[in-house]
Amino acid sequence: MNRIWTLVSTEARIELRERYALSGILLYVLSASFIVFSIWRQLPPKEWGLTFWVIFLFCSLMAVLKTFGKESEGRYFYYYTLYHPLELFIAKALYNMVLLLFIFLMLWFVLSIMAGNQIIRVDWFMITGLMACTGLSFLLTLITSIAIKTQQNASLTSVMALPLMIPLLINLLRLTAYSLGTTPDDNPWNEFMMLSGIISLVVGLSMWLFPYLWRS
Amino acid sequence: MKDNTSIKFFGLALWKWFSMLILIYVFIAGWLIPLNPGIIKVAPESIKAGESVVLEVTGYNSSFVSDTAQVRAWLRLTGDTVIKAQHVQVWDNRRLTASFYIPSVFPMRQEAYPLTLILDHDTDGTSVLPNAVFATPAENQNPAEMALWFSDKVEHVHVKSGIQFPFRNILSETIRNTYFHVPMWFTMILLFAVSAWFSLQYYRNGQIVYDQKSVALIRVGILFGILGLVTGMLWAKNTWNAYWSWDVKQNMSAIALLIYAALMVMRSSVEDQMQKARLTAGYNIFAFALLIPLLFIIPRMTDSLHPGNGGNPALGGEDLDNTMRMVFYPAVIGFILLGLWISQLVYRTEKLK
Amino acid sequence: MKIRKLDKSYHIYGRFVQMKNLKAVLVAVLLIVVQLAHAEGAVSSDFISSIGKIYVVAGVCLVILITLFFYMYQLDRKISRIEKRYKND
Repeated sequence: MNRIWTLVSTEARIELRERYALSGILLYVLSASFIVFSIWRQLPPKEWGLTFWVIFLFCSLMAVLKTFGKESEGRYFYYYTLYHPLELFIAKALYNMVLLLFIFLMLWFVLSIMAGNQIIRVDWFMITGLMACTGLSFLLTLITSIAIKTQQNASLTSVMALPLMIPLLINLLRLTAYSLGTTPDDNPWNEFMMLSGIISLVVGLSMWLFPYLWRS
Repeated sequence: MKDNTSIKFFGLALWKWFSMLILIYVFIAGWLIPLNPGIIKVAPESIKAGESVVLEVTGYNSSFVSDTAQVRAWLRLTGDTVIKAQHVQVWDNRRLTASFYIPSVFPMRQEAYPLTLILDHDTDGTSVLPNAVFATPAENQNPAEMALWFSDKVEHVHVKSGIQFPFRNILSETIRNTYFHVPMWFTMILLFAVSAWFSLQYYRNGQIVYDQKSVALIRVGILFGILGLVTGMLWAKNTWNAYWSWDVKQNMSAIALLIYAALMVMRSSVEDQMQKARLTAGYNIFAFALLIPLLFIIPRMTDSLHPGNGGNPALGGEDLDNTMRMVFYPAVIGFILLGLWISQLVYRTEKLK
Repeated sequence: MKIRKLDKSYHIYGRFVQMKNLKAVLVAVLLIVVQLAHAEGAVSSDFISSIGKIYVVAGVCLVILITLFFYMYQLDRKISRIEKRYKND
């Protein structure tokens, strides 16, 4: 656990030192939501939720894409001898999760300035966001680790990850509809259980498969 | 996939002969068994309550002439509230006119009343057209006419003997597509499942044979998926009036195809053989596990145009009658065996390279 | 010289006539095609839904059979290619 924490904090320190990475994501979120908002002009609750998750999806792809990219070959080798692949994976996924949470909050903030905060049940939206970040970060980290082994990793990551994200996205939209109050359904637990089932599937499978895929 | 251990007949494994025989049976039975008689069209579509109307009925596969006096017709509002036709005139085997008096009052209050037409006939049995006509309320309502709704009952109906497929209103003959379109999806899902199992074997043993097997299965699975998509679009155009209606099942199956297409793209961009096999196995297991909620759970939770309760991935009991089962289940088995056969050929070709 | 010139002009005229003919033929063909397309559109929509939409079933079966046979054909060619290579080796 301690070792994982060291890895996460190293990762974060490197990221913070290179300012442009974080500010790049921030700019991406800003410009994406600006473009979408300038097309829509006004966002009714339902569209607000849709827009939110679409922008979030692409931002998260952007952010996670360079997880394994920025390291040189030498550092891989160093990591490989020093840490168990599972530790490495959990550290990367946790770091990405924090990153996605940051994007989530930022996007929420930006969209509520631009289009007003349509969320009625804030607590549920926070839970939805937390779940989305967990699921997406594990999924994307695994897919990037596969894509990094191929020749064109950037385009392949999105090609491989986008269809796999859809089962997650569908359930996220359902839960979001509850926190937006656009559904007559008054019981979110069904969707919650479904979503947590899928997320635990993603987390479990990716933790099982990563050490196998990482060998080379 | 184990060819050398299976029982052979004329140099070909028995199950391959079996699949051929089944498919020949499916094509013959699926095409030649006739459809039950039914009603295609009723004119006019909207009528006024409190008046006498004459409905022109067009039948399908019907033989009204055979027993002219025995043709009976009812308009049903709900359950037992029906009115019987005063007079039925048969013109030819496919056309008849039935005259009704629609009571000016209804047991419930609505803006329009959909009425179901029921025909009963000695040789044809019973045929039903739901929402055949819409009745608009009368201006002068006579409460005494309420009794007319309850004076008659649909009884002593006949059942046509012999083997037929049921007649469904919009589907009519395209109900036969059940034996050709639906098995494509069953085959696709089964091939993907077997391929995921072989990937798991590769994960355990690391023998390149398993990788080749799973990739052959994925290739043929994608082929069957595309077939299912294209045939489904053709069918949908002629029954739902659009090639693509953003139905849950359509979307989910398209996504499944996208996932596996991505896998093939990924495979082609890795050069090292072992690396390729390992990445394929990992992604395949991951993808199939995520496909399970996509194909089996999410469609159950949303409404769908497809048959089955609330977009149930399987066909419900109501959608298949016993005659259809006799063709549908063999069709599924036959196409699955054919899919396995083709993927075995693909695998053997790959192995030769 | 004069004759030649005339000849030439005649030739050119002939070509012009030919061109004109060609254009006429083209227009005629186009008209026929357009009309046929119209007629076919009218026929095919009727045709597809005739006899209880049985041609939809025919289309579905044809799509399945043609695709599967085409796939088998390609597979066969692939195998032949491999066989050839074996023979060469």
